[in-house]
Amino acid sequence: MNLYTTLQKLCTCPSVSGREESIRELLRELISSFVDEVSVDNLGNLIARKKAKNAKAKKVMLCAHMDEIGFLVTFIEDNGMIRVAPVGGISLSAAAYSEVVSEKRVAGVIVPESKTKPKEYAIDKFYVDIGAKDRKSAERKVSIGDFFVVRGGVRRLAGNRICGRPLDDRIGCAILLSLAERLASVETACDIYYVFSVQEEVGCRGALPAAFGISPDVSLCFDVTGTGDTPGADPMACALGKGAAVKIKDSSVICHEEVVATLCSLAETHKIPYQREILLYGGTDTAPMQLSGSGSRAGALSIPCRYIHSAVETCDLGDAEACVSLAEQFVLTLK
Amino acid sequence: MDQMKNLAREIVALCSVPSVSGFEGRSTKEIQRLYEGRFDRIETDAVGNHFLWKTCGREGAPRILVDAHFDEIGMLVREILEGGFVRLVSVGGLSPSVLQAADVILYGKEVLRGVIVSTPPHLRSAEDDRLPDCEELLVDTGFSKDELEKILPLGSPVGFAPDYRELLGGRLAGKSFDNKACAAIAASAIAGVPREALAGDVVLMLSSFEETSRLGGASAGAFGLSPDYAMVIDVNLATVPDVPKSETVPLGEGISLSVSAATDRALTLASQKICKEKNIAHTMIAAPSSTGTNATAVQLVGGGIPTVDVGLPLRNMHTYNEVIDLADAEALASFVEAFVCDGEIAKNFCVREELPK
Repeated sequence: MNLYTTLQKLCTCPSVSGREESIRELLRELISSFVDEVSVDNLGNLIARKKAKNAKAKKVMLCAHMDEIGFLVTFIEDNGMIRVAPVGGISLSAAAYSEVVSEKRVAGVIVPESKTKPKEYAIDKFYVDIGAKDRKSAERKVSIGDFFVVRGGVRRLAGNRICGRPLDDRIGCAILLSLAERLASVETACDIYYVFSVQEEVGCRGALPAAFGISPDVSLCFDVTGTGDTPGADPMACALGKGAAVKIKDSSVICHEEVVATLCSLAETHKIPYQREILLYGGTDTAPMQLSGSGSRAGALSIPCRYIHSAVETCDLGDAEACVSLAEQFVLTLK
Repeated sequence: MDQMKNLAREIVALCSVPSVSGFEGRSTKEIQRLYEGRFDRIETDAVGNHFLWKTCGREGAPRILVDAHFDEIGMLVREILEGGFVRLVSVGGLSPSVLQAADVILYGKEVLRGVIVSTPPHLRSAEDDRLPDCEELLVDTGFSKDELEKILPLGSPVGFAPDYRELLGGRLAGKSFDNKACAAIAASAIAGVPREALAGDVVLMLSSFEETSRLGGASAGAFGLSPDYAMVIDVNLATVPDVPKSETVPLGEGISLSVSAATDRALTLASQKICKEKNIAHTMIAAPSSTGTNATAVQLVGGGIPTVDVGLPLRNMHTYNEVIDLADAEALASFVEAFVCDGEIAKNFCVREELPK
């Protein structure tokens, strides 16, 4: 599987938190042939299971979130302009003057009210213009509660670098798909659950009941992380192109020490590029997987990403490939 | 007096075991060394909890959970810089006021001493009176960058150096009494109770992640145990001059019991009754919607667990010179002992026996 072409598909399938139907169907289609069974739980998490031979095998949960940040339509004004509320950690300065697209593929632009200074940016100063001449014609295209996202898509930059949105976290989804393909014909000693979780961007909600239902022994999260390699960035020993980032800590979790140690030593043994990651701000699905039910040994492989939550999220494909290889080795060592 | 000396020794022994939040798993051997033979068995789980079991030997007996979190605040190595300086990230709510020039220990592949570097007052401008956060501070280890990179992996835990002293009037000063003092007191009390006297099977949970997670390792641990009722023990802010009395509890006047929506009313009243009957010094405190301890998470685990929240007064919380009073420690030990032996509580709160009806 080519990560880049997979990402092109995944990034053009808008699905904000709580409304993951379309991305879920796409992922189901892409993963089905690599696993034994696919199910959807009550919250909407997509759970693809590759069974071990032994019925009492240990269970490993590999999770990437499939939702993305965006906007919900709250009100349509008489002049046809559409007011919205944010879903997840929207940066308005990153969103201003962007193309947006609705769940019904209605195109528009999100803009601040005229003369609003960047300092005054607030969601009630923003609106979506779909070009409708008045409320009636807008209502033919858009309803209250419809979602919009900043138009997705991905393109290549120099070398191995790619840019677009929402790499957070479709790149994690692409890694799981690629991993599932690699392991499809391998007999593994553990039960593998590939989980594409919902509602991560609104507080890591989906992974909690998913982990409760699965009750894994070990869990790994695949999500983007920040970097310290751009001008003006806070100090952070994590950079694009330096390999899979083995998470030690973020603001929601401290990973299981043995999981961290195993990942690092596997990377050394198999010469897979890796770096150790400590993220000061931001949480991931690692935390709910760690503490759901009676808990699991939780870790995470992160993909370094610049400009997170903007339309120009930037990653290195080599790092993503390193995540696939390292996850593969990790799963193969589980007995 | 001897008894008090023993308790002080037990407290210092456990508090000296490094256990920065998230790294509790490293302490299993030390916990075994301290408690093997004094409990029936010691178990661990996937999130760093340790369970010290003492069973009563009767079938169908209630399961009593005593929780004391075992993790401590601390730091992790975030980056190694030129000159052998180490950049940190805080783990838990460190007070910036005590960080500069602190003595620290770095637990890498080798154990290293270090001191946090501070800007001398001579070089600080008058306007710059802001205390730097942990993330802005550096540790000087004396090693070079090259040497450190070999022995100090990023993510290695860093803790304050342990140093314990007895103050006058039966007070103890040192680090990590929050909350390993409570854990040591509870362990000592439960270990000392004859098996036949127990009101049920007692599990002392030395829980993980309290300082760093809203749920704490206690929630996962309690879910796995599914106890009939629980006592959560944690330290409480003791009075200091200039802090409103309403926000604190007196030091040296016994334990505190929280009246809170996050605790069980009947179990709290039954606990108060124990204190009155056994003459255990105690203060009732109001913590309206949350106790700020594991009790808040534990009571909501599974189908709900009746929980009482017990506090040990402590000064200078989250510094390397926390202060407790050994008379309070004695009071806590007496309370824990009476609680796990209380047949009336066991009868009233044992869900297990009621279920078959």
